[in-house]
Amino acid sequence: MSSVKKVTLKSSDGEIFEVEETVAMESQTIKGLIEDDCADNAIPLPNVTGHILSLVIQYCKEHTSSSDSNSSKSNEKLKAWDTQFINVDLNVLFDLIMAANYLNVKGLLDLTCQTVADMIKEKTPEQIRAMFNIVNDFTPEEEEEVRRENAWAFEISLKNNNVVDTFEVEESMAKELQTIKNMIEDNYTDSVIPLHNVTSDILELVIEDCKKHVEAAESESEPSYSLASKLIDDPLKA
Amino acid sequence: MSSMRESPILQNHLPHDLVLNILANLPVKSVLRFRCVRKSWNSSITSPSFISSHLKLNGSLRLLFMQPDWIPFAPHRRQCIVICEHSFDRISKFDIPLTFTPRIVGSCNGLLCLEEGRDYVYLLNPSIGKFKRVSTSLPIPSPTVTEAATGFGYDSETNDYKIVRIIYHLWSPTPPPQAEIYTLKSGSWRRLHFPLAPDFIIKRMSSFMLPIPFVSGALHWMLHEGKGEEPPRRSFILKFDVNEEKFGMIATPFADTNAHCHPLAFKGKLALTEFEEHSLLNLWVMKEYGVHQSWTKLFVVPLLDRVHSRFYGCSENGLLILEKSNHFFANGKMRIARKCISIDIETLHERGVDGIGTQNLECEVNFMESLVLLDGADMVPVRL
Repeated sequence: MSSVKKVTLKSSDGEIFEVEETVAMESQTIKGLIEDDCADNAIPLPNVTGHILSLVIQYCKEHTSSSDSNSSKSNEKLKAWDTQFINVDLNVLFDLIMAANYLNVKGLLDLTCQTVADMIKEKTPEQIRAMFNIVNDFTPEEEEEVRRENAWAFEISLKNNNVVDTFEVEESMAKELQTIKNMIEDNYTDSVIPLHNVTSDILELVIEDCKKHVEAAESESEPSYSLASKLIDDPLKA
Repeated sequence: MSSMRESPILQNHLPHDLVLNILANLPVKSVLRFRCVRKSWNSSITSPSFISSHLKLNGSLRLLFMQPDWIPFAPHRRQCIVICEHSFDRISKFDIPLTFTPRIVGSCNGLLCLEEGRDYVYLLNPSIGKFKRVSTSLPIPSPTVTEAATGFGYDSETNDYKIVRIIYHLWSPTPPPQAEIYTLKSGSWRRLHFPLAPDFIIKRMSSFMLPIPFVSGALHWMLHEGKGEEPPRRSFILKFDVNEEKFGMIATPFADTNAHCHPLAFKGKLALTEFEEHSLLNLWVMKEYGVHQSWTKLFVVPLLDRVHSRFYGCSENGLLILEKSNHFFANGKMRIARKCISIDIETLHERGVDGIGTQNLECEVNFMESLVLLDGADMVPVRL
């Protein structure tokens, strides 16, 4: 249809995009410019690169057609499309957040922020600093105080194979088990460690056992491993 | 789970307000952990505006069950179990260090209000482990013949939490009932005008173990007027508008109010249960708040006498929580196995609530996790 109104968008690196007006209006920023009659020529978007802008346009296209009364796109299909769409690497994700904010595309901003939140929710503060390029400006004493206030939030969760029971244990205890100690030291994963080969009952016994050893280690120099924890360690190493 | 070895380093720094957008989507435990990432994150996380925006995004519905926790040679504490309203998965479990018959008065935005005996009221946010004791100010003249009815709600205009208490003398109009209100921001109690006719005798207010619903900005108690052993002369719903701080009255849709009418919140509307002869539970919903004609008997749930042995409440989304007793013979004796079940009021579908024993189950309330009061003064941190 040649009568469909189009607008021209220009990215920071000079790429030109011709987009249908209805699609472009998913961005409240662009909508404002069009309504103020400032969109006769190409709209320059100095804060968005061509690569990111093309992704944003893809998102807007998909979400405009779904609000069309003739469209048969169901909510599930749209959600599935979003999940596929958002499967990009973290740097692209962050660029999308900034573009969605600058262009004021609410749905995209919510989607990207929720996605990053899901990615980081189990991480430790150290991992967060590495990811966001943050320098810790707390003194060790200040940081210790904040940690102590919510000590329970730092406990490591061990989940059993049915993901039914999560056991919160202190790091010193979890490290009694050699396997878990290695996982923690390699920064293997976040604060939830899945243990696929161990049922809740056994895990509970092992944790009790570890507790005793940590207490014993405080009075002796060498902790002695009991038979129970030796037997359990093997399936974990499998 | 991605391996940390491949964690990418960001090329650009994300501006602080966008970081907060991300953090507002996180569960409470993660938010608390990230307080120590850097100072600006810590001050933002503990700010009232962040706490509010986090609340808006994170209010997934939970059910909280409270029962005594029998520790040998120790005063009895209360154990609370929180489950997801949708899947019944266990979310958390914690103890409340109160021993003298505590009851949960209300639950609002993740804050629990508890009453212990007649002298103390507590505010607790178990998700962040903060706890505050509020001692009541009205003197109880003769504790054996007075009762206290308490409610807990939120003032949306001042972003404040309020506790309302009504002290009344059983079976006698004198001394007249008194009301007082506590606001979290002021940290103190204040007298309220309690507008009942001088010869009005309060026989009983509300039902012992059910929380007081906060719905349409108001608290609602069932009030029965009458004397002694006689049946109530009249019963109605006493309401208290939390923003305006005014009492009012809502008439019930049926004349014959028995002892088992409980006001509740159902999908954001005021509702009233009516038990008929132990065999039917009717749920009336006031479709338009304050309009008497809008009372509608929306649901009728058949119950089995002696099988559905106790009613614990109804969740915000219409799950009735009941105790089911199964009578059977074993070894020549009649035994009873009790379990906690939910009945969906719309579909009548019954589900067992596993992991909750009904032996001494005291109450059940709607709940959510929040950061509310993370910025609060005089809150005692408590390891729950």
